[in-house]
Amino acid sequence: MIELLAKYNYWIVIILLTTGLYGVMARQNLIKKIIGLNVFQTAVLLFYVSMSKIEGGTAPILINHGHGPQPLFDNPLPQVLMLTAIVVGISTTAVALTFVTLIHREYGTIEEDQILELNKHND
Amino acid sequence: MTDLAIPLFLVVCGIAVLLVKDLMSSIMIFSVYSLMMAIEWCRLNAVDVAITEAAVGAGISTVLFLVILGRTKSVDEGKKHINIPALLVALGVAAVLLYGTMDLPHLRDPNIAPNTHVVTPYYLENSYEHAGQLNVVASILAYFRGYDTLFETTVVATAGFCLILLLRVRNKKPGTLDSQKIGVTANKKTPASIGVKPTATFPDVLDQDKDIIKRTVTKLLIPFIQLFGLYVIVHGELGPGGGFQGGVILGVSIIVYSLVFGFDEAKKRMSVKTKDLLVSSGVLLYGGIGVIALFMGGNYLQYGVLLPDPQFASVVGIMGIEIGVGITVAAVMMTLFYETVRIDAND
Amino acid sequence: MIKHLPALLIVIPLLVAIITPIIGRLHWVLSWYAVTITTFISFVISLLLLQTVLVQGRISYWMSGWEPPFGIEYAIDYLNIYVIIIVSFMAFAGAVYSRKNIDVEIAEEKKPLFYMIYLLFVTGLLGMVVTGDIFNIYVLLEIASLTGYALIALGKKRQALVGAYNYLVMGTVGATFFLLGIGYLYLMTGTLNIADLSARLPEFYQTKAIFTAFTFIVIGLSIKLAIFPFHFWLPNAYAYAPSTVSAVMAATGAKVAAYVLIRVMFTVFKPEFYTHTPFNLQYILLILAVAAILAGSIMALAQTDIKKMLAYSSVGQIGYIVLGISLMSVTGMMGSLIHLLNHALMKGALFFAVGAVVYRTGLTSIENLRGLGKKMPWTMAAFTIAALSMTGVPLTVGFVSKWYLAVASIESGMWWLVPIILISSLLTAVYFWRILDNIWLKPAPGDESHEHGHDSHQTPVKSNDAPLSMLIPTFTVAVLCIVFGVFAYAPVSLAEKAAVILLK
Repeated sequence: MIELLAKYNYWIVIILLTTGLYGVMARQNLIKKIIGLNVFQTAVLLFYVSMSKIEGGTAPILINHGHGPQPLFDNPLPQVLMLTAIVVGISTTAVALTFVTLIHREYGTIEEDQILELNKHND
Repeated sequence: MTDLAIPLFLVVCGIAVLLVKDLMSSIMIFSVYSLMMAIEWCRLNAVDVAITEAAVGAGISTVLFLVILGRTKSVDEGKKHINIPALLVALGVAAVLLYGTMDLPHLRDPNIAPNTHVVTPYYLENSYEHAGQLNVVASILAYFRGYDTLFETTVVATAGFCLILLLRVRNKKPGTLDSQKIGVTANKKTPASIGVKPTATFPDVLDQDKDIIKRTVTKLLIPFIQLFGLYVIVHGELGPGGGFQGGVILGVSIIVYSLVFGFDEAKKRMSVKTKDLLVSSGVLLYGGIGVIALFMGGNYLQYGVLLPDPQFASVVGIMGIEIGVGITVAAVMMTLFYETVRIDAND
Repeated sequence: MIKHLPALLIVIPLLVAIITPIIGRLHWVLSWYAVTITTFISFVISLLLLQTVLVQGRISYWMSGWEPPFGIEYAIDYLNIYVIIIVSFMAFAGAVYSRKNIDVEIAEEKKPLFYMIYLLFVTGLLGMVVTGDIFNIYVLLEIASLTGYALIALGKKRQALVGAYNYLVMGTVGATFFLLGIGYLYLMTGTLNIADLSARLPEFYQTKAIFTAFTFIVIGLSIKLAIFPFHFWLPNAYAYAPSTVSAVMAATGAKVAAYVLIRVMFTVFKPEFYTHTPFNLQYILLILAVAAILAGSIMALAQTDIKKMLAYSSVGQIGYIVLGISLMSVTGMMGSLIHLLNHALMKGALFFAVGAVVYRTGLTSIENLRGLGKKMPWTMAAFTIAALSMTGVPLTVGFVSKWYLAVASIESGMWWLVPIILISSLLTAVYFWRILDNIWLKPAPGDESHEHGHDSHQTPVKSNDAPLSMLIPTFTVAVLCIVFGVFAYAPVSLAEKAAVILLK
C-alpha cells in the first residue's frame, strides 16, 4: 500500500489522462473537446517530466564552465522530448481551433449533436 | 506532503475544466492549469520545459482559445449528460495504466535505466566539451538530437502555413482595412432551421483599445519584452532558455501590440508578407546550416565540421539554428494570431 | 553525396517545401513543378538506396555525426526501402495527377500553399519510414498527421471540415497514446534507438510495464491505421477530401502506419515477446483483422457514394494487412507486405479514376457513373483493371497477395480463414460489379432517349476523357497492377527478404 502511495505522481497522471480522454469523447462542444485533448496531452507531459527527476538532483545546467566536479543532475533527455511535445501540442491545437472556426462559419454551431443533425439534412 | 499540493491542485483544475459549463470560465481555468503545470515543472527542476509551458500553454493557448471563442460567439455548452460508453472506455484505459504502473520503478530513483544506461551520462559529460553548451537540455535539443528539433520547428511552421492555407481569403478590395466590417452573407442550413438561437457577442479583437493606461504601459513594455525574448534565445546555451521560448516571447510582443493598438497598426509594424517570409526563413536557416555541414565533409547537421575548431563550430552552429528556430516560432505565433483574428468575407 | 542519400531523401523535400510558397507567388505552376520534380528525385533516391541495401543489407546513417544511441540514426533495411519506394512513387504519381485535378477543387491563390502542405505530408511519411529512432517517428508522425488534416479540410463540401476535425481528434489521441507507450519503453530501458531497444527489451518482456507500453503503442498505431474498431474517422476523411488527397492518402498513409506497426511488433519487440504476454495477442489481432475484412466489405456494399464505398473498402483491405501480421509467419508477413504494395496501387488507381470523374462531372454517386464507359473509356478501363485486381482475379496484383495470405493461413493451421478470404473477395466482386455494370452496360442518363430513337440516327457519343496529366498517372498505376501481377518476382523477393529478417 505504501508502495502505491509513493508512486503518487503516476496516479496524478492516470487521473488527468482519464479526465482528458473522457472530455474528448463525451463533450459535445468542439472547443471543450480540444481543451480535453490538451489536458490529455499535458498528463503525458507530467509522466515524462516525473521520469526525469532524481532524488537530490538539480537542473541539468553545468557549473564552473563544465570543469571540475558537477552536482547530481536530473535527467535532461525527457525534458527535451517534452519540449517537442509541448510545441507539437500547440500546433495541433491551433489547427484544431481553425477547424472549429471554419465549421462555425459553415454550420453556424459548434455543438457536435447539432452538426450531425444538420449533416443529415444535407445528404 | 507539500510535494502533493500542486499535483492535487492540477487534478482539481483538470476536472473542473471539463465540468464547468461556461466556455470562458473553462478557458480561464485551463490557463491557470497550464501556469500551475509550469510551476510544477520548476519544482521538478525542468526549467526549460517550465518556460516553454508558461509561454505556450498559459500564454499562446489561452489567446488562441479566446480569439476562437469570440469568433464562434458561443458562451455556454449545450445540454450535457454523462456518456456511459465514453466513461467505460476512459476507465478501461485507466485500468490498463494502473496495471502497468504496478512494476514501474519508483520516482526519483537514481538507479533506473534512463539514468544508468550510457545515453544520459554521455550527454552530461560531453555537453560542454563537444557542444559548447552549459545547458545540457540545449545541447541535446540542438546538437545530439538536433535532427528532431529541425522537424519540431517544421511542425510549428506547418501549423502556421496550415492556418494561412485554411483561413486566408484574398478576395478583398485593395485598401480595405480589416477593421471595416464586410457584410454578412446568408448562410446555408443554419441552426435556426433546427430551432437553435445564437448567443452573445464579443467586443471585436481588431479594434483599438482607447484606454490611455493600457496604451502607455504597452508602449513602455514592448521593447523590454522583445529584448527579453532576444536574451532568452541567445542565452539558451548558458542557462534556461533557447530558440522556442525566446521566439514565443518575441511573437507575443507583436500580439500584445495588436491587442492594444489595433490590428491595422500592428500590420504596419510587421506586415503580413514579411511575417510569411520569416516563417520559411527560420526553417531554411536551420536546414541550410545542416546542408553546409554536408558540404564541409560531415554528416547532415554535424556542426563540428563547420569551422576548424569543433567546439567553437558547435557553438556557432547551435547559435545559428537557435536563431532560426526563434525566427520561425516568433513568426508563427504572430501568424496564429493574425490569421484567426481577421474578419473574412463570410463572418 | 551518395553516402548522404538517406539524409537527402528527406532534406530535399523539406527545404523545397519551405520555399514552395515563395516560388508560387510568381505563378502557381512553378510550385507544381517544384513538387513534381522533388517527388521524382525522392523516388530516384529511393531506387538508388534499394541498390545499396541489396548489396550491403542495412544502411546506417548518423544524423549530426553522433553514433546511436546518442544521436538519431537513419536505418534502412529491406522492409524500409520497400515502403519508401511505394510511398515516393505514389507521391510522385499524385503530384503529376494533381496539376489539372486541383483546378476544380482548390482556389487558385491557395494552390502554392496546397503544394507546400502536400510536399510536407510526403516528407513526414517518408521520414517516419526511414528513421531508426522511435521518438523521431513520433515527430514525423505529427508532421504527416497535421498536414493530412489540413489537406482533408480543403475539400469542397462542408462535411470535409467535420471529417478533418474528427480525424484530428482521433489522430491526436492515437499519437499521444503512441507517445505514452514510448515513455514506458524509455523508462524501462533508457534508450530511444530502435536497434538498442530491440537489444535491451528482452529482459523486460515479463513485466507489466512493458506489456502496457506495447498495448498503448499498438492502440495508438491502430487508430492511425484505422483498424477496426478504430476506423471511424476514415470514411468521412477519404470521402470528402479533394480527389488527389484521397488517392495519395489512401495509397500511402495507411501503408506507413502499417510499416510502423510491423516495425514495433517485430523489430522493437521480437517474436519471443508474444509468448510472454498474459493473453494471446495473436488471436486478438486475428479477430480484429477478420472483423475489419468483413465489416469493411459489408459496409462498402451499402454505400451510394463511390468515394465512401472505396473508403470502407480500404478498411477491409487494411484488415488483410493485419491478418498477415497476426499470422506471425514468414509467408504471412510476405502476404501483408505484398498487399501493402498492391493496395497502394489498386486504391491509388481507383481514387485517381474517381477524381477524373469528379473533374468532368463534379459528382460522386454511383448512379452518376452510368454510361461513362463510352464517355471516358481510358479512365474507366483503368478503373476496371483496378477493380478486378481488388477482387483478386489471377494475373493481377490482388491475386498474388491473397494467394500468399491463404497459403499462410493454411500453414498456420487456420483453415477457416480461407473461406473468409473467399467470401470477402466475393463481396468485393459484388460491390464492384454494381459499378462496372453502371459504367459499361447502362446508358448514360442523357442518352436514354436515343435508345428509343431510330437505329440509323444514332449519334456517336463524344469521348470526354480525363486530361492527359490525369490520365497518365491513373493508367500507369492501373497497368502496374497487372505488371506486378504477372512479373511478381521483384516485389515478392524483396518482401521475402524483409519478412525473413523480421521473423528471425
